[in-house]
Amino acid sequence: MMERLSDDLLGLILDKFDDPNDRKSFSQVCKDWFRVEGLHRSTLQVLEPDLIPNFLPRFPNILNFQSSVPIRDSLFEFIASTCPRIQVLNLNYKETGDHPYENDYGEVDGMKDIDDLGISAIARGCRDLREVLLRRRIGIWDRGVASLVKFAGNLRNLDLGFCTGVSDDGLESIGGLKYLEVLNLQGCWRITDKGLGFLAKGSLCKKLRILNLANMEITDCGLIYLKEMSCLEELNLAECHMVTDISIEMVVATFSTLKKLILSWMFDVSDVAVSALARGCKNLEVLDLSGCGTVSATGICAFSSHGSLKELVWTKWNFAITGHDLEHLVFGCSTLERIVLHKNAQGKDSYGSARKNINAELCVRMG
Amino acid sequence: MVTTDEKGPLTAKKKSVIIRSCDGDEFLVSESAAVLSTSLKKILEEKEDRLIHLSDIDNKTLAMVIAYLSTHADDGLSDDLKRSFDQEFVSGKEFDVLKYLVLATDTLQVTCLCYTVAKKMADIMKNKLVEWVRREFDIQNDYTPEAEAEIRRLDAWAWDDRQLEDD
Repeated sequence: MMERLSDDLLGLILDKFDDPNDRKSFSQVCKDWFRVEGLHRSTLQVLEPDLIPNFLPRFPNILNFQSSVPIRDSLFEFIASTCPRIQVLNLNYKETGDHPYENDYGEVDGMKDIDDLGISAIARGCRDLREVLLRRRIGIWDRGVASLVKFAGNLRNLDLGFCTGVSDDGLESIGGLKYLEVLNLQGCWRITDKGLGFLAKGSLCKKLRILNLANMEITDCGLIYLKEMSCLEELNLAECHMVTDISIEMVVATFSTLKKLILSWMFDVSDVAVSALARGCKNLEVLDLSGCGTVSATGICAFSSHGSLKELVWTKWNFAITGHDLEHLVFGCSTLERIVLHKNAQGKDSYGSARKNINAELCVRMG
Repeated sequence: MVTTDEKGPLTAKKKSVIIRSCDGDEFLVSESAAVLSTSLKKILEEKEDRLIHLSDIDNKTLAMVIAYLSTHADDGLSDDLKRSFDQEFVSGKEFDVLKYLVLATDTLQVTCLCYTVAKKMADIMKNKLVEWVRREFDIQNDYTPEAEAEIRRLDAWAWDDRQLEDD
């Protein structure tokens, strides 16, 4: 009779299974394999949080904890002490389109979802957090953010999208994160220009690569603080209606490292800004100008001498690009792979000839 | 005892060791191949003896491991060739043979081969019935029917998800 495989060997085999069903079969073999499977589970998606006390102790080595449903705040102390190795906490709320909460106090069905105490418990217990995604968890306020930053100095990625309790004080804490590369503040309407000033003063300035400021109540004055962000690769300013050409030209167009820029539905962005971007953002690959009312073909054509743009989205009703302009753009900018235009644009007959002559994929978005 | 021949100092590099399996057969292996096994390397560092007795590895398995070590110690082979050798090495082998191999590579600490064999075993085990796995590993089902049902129930609440990379 052969020797039994050690836990480590069983774990080695188990780690090669990609399909959850295979892991399930594995744990059904015998009690010992069941135990080993639990020890070797690194990712857990929680669907029924109320049962966490029952099943979580089996998975002490979880690195990646995710759940998109409300989790009782009082459970986080238990989660942190049971799974201290968690590196990725993904609590992004499921995107249903509707506001997930019944009231403004972060309660769902009368139950308290994660709040500042919960996130603080996680930060104190799990000391190697790399990613914390809290999209739409509106129980998170500045104190929670401060506590997270205090204990999770290694954070690389922080998503506070639509955490509407977070304000300028929260950003002052975040500014202290030395290694943060990705920050999402979409829809945090309490944050003002002052907050961006705090952020820009912090040590994350030289590390941050991806910044999402969409749907925020910020103005040119706030954006100007960001001038110090020397390695920004992606910036999303969608629907920041108070940001105008001024700061786009003065700040964004100076980001030579920028690869992706989303300016959709910014009503005060015009050809001036777009021309400045074409001159300044030498490495830009994706530019989204959907719904930018005052951008015309003149602005777009500034990119005809650009050396790296791959994708351009420009969907708008009231301006049109002629076939001639389009040809000028795609022949000039040889890196272009994809252009998305609106169906209503004039001169669509001449798109045909442009389409034949270019390698780029031309998408005419249906009205 | 080191003998000198026309190659002079080079012979030091060409030293051999004898490895004996649990059924008593002996294999002559170059030291450069033997030290690819972390366990053998440690033994050789600790004692002068050029004969190593492995009490828990049988002839057939040991021969396979040694073929692997010798190929990987061959400086004349490119990494690409070694990789394709590895794939060839595990393909077509019976599950039973792989099981002994994985145990042997674990004992001898030949990490690369251990991973390759474990991967191959996992590939075979995928989509197999629980009963098949129990039979192959000679494992008794120690669950009560109730306990087995409970596991299925638990797994419905929390499951492993590998789609994270896409986020």
